[in-house]
Amino acid sequence: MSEVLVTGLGLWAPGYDDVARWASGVPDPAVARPRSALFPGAAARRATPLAQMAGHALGAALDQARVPPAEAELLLASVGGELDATFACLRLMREEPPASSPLRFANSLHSSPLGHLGVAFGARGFAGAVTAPADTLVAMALLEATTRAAAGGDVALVVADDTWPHAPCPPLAVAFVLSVRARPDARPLARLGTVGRGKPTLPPSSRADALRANPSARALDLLDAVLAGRAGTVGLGGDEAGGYVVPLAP
Amino acid sequence: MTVRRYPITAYAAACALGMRTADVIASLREGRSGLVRQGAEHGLPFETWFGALPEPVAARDLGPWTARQADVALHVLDEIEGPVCAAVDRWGAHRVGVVLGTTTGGVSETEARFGAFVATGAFPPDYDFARAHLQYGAAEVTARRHGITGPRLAQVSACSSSAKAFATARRWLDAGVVDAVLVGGVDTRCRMTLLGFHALEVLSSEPCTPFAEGRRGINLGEAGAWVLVEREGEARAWLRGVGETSDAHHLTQPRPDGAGVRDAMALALADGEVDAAEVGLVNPHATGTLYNDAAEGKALMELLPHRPPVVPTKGLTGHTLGACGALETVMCVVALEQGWVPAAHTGPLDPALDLNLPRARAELRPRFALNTSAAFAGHNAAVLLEAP
Repeated sequence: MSEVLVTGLGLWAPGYDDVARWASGVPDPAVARPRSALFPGAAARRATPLAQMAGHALGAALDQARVPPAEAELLLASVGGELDATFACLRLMREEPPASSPLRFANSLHSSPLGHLGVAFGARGFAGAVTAPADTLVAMALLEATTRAAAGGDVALVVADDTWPHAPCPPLAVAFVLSVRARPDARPLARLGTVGRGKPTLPPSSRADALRANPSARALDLLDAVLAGRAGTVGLGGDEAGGYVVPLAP
Repeated sequence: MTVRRYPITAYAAACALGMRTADVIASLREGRSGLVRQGAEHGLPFETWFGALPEPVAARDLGPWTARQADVALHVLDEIEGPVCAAVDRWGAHRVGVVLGTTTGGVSETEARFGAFVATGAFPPDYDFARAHLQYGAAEVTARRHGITGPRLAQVSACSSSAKAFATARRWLDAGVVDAVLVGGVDTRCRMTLLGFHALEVLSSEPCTPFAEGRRGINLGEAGAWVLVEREGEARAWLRGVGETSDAHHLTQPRPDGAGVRDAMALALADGEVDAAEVGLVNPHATGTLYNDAAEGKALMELLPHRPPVVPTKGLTGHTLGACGALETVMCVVALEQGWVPAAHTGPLDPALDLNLPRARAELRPRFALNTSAAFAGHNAAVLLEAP
């Protein structure tokens, strides 16, 4: 597979609503719940927090990559997806007679954030949602995104999980725009090789420690390595068969 | 220039038409519907028809992964154990991947334990929510069953999930990261989904009639299907192309002009370097809703004016959600391999649609078949298959 360029970065986490603030290491206490300008008025009420944070991170990454949102290929990777909406549906089922809600049911689907974002962006190309265990989510997301980008599109990947109703998980969304060729007025930030098995040569992000309960936190290891202009292999997690890495070069 | 195509070397399916692939094929050949009426006795405050698996699936002790969805995935996988083991031996466990499409995961397991969660704020200690409920579970148990250590993930793009799984498989093979991929789809009955579709007012209280005049909505169903795609091997059929698009229109309704699904089909044809006029069979998404079928019908009329046979099968199986792309791809593979096209099991054609819905099984030998899927969030996918 050919190399893929990283041309845009985006992020939303409690205290951090952009990459520059994340890089500064100084959180903003006012950044508590995600809100994206992509969803004005009634759309804001329909879009879930996961859609909001994914949209916020993707919008920033696409802006940096100079990719018009309508031309982006969208990929969401999430372990839990829309668990809040799912649990809301499960609660409604306990009513007598058992009930449901059209909006909550539609929002309970893993891919529903992309439905909201696709409409907001006017994006009519490829879009998809994937999931995997927490330990391999980021590796599988990057594999899916880089192999898709190799076909020539601008893939906007967001790895995100909202708070979980059943276990501790701080909200986090990390976005990358991946392309074989950068747009004319965009600056390539780094080059990625093929995701595969191996041992990382670069250290994990020390700033991500407070967010490690979120499976997307491994994406911060890649984001920080890109920001630092490092070369080597970034650890992406792994399973019983070994770790996954992605080669990175400035 | 060499055409980029990958052999499908094995397949298996279970759905309302049968617990084994041979039973599914026999029912499909005879046009025997597997839909059954469900209502209050099944915990539903309404009546509908459902494509239930006709026999119980053996419950396995899968430890923390124990879930009916995983049971169905493994039940179907057992049927192609030989070819899967051969692929693992041939290519190496690390060169085989697993991509599974699903929507519900193990939500039915959580339904049964949600009372405890509400009462105590936690699930029972013997319930591993992450492994039993979340959508990657069946892909993981499938890989573990055969010691597969290559990449594995679940496609969770609602009802186009397992059609999109073929796209992932093709990308992985193109990129050289694997030499074989188990591509599948599985979704099993859960009340949450039935109640949700009822709330959306798209569930029919009668057997569904895709593309028919006066159609009244969908019936849901459950199914599992696996397809083994390899870099080289004896082809039962070929995976020739895949196309994926988005509607950018509405969370739950398709674009009325059908452009999303039309473009997905066109991209699959371009990916496979096949002219639209060569398509000899279509298994459409065709759920039986007013809007889906109108939009998809327009797309088919625009892209395929030569009117190839269009055979909706959800009137036999119900809409199997995340499994339908894989299940209906298996049906296309059977048609291409065996040289017959099933009858369309539905009512009188909607007069607004100029489609060729065969009313009887036909001994035809199409060279290319398209399977289309559409989904909430506006995600469309089309899989292009070639006869062996």
